[in-house]
Amino acid sequence: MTVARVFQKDSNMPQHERKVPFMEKRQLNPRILTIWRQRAIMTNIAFWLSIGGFVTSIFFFDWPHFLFYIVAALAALTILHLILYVFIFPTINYRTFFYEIRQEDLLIQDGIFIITQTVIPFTRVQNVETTQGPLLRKHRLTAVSVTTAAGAHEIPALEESDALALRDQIAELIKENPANEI
Amino acid sequence: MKSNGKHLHFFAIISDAVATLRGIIVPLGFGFVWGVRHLGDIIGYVLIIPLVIVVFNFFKWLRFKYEFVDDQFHIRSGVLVRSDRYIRIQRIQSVQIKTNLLLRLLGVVQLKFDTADQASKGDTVLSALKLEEAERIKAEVSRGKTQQSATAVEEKPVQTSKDLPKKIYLLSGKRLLAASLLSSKIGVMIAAVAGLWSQADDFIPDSIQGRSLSYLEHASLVGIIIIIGVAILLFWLFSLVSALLRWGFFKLSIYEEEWCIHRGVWETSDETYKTDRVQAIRIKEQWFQQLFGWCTVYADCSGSIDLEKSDGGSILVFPLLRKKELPDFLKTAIPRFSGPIERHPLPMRGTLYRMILPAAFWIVLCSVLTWWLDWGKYTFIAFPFILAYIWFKNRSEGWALIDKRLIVVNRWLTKTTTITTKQHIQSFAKRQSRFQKKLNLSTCKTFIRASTQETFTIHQLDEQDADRLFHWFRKK
Repeated sequence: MTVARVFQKDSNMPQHERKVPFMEKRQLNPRILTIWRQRAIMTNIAFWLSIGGFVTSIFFFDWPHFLFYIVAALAALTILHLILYVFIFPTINYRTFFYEIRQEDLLIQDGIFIITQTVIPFTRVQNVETTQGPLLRKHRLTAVSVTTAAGAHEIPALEESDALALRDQIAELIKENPANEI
Repeated sequence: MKSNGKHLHFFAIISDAVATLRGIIVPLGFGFVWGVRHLGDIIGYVLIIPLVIVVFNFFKWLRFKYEFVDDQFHIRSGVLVRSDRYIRIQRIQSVQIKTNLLLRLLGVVQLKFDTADQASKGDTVLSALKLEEAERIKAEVSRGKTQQSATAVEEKPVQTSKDLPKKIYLLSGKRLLAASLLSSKIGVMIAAVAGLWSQADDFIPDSIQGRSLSYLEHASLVGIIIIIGVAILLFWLFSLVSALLRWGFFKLSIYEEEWCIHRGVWETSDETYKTDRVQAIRIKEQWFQQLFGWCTVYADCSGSIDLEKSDGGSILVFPLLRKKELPDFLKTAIPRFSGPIERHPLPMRGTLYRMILPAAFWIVLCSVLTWWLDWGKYTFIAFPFILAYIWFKNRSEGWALIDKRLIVVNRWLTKTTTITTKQHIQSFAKRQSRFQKKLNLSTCKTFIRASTQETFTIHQLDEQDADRLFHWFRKK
């Protein structure tokens, strides 16, 4: 927070309340863990349903029985998916993810095995988009994605007010650093 | 500047119908032909399809109207989903006129606007126009642009392509031949031979299993080699001729801010590109080209470009240049990308690390082949060659940072040297897995803006260098 104040002093932009401080690594909202897990469980259920459909059609249409091996393999994969995506990956991803707003760029670190740090200069940002699916809405969270001419980068979950502040802040910074077009 | 809505030339119906038909038939390819041959009853329906397409295109033609409204170009189109497009003349980056053999017979041309949009929706094509009409539109657009900018910025006269070019590069006959000879695509040839081989199978009365193997027993080895040789020669000739036709009369005229590229024997095209749209320069050297010290120059442009004519979203700037001529060429064509082209090699441990995965893959593949097939164990003979190739491929990659320019050398089959500058990089990513961290390696990825999304990756470079690049990009 102290760092943030230092930067706010010399920036001469309008002082509407800025909730997202400068130059500080910010993590995601911890409730994203629940959301990731819920999403993974939903996908998992979809997998189980399709496996069930497969099994019933094997019975009904008298498909050859060696297909059960495939079913077993698929089931094993689904269980693996459940373990990884519900218990292991969310915590790792939560730990690795951070974003940092600097004066001229946005830094996002993301990844599970391969950690990626991405820099997006504000001069290149074309638009900032907030999206909110039903799960995120239930938890009062919002995803913010920052689009450049070469693709979008997403911050998966922020407190609604934080997200709006971030959006406004980036919009402000874009104005401040006018793009050198094309 | 108001004028009445106008139709395209009547021939647009047929031209579009042919294009649609080709679009349908080509992807279905042989399957389509096969269907016609075997399902005689359906032939009637097959004949109806073109008719439907022609009728549909007739309505499309009827609906398609264009006009100039004040400083905008208005296009009304769409039969079922109707759309009105207003393109501000200021926003039109370039106008392209081209023809193909069919159109040329009728003295009709195609006109295309380039805008800054993404490729898919960006290009606006008027598919058949009389040449005079096309010229009129082109003149109108450039007049609109000059008028606009004359009122907007007085001091800066707008460049029109009527000025004398700074320099003209012509592809001489000798070079054209060399370019065509060298560019024959090996991958295509192999695929073609494989295709032919699978076709050859069909002519053999079907024994139940291992058809190609039994065929092998019947034909003599010499015969097979001759067949393959002839096939390769044929496809090579084919690619030679197609390259000759594509690149014949290639002419690159360099203006102060524009490139005019004229090319083609039957299907000619005149394309104009503003140089400030260029996001990166790509220099490709194929095996043969590298052997003789030649290279091909491509440019990655923002906004829409003609995807079918260009190679994977980049425009061909010049088909064949001596590597010695390259610095001078870049200096005249596009000064901001010119300069020394260097390459720092990547660290040795990175090369070794990158070889683990392909090595494992080939070992597994060869083992599986050995398990299933008699001759499988011989595939291990290829293994050291593959490893050696991967080794040399990885060792020939590299990167360099000179002032504002980032040079990335990558290679799969062709050696590709990409030059871009900091101002064109949209975002920059540094990737590192846990293993890479132990080895002090990391991978850098740059994203640039182009008609298709382009990324350049520097694989497995030293972590300090990666950090250096990272900071180079971050600091102003």
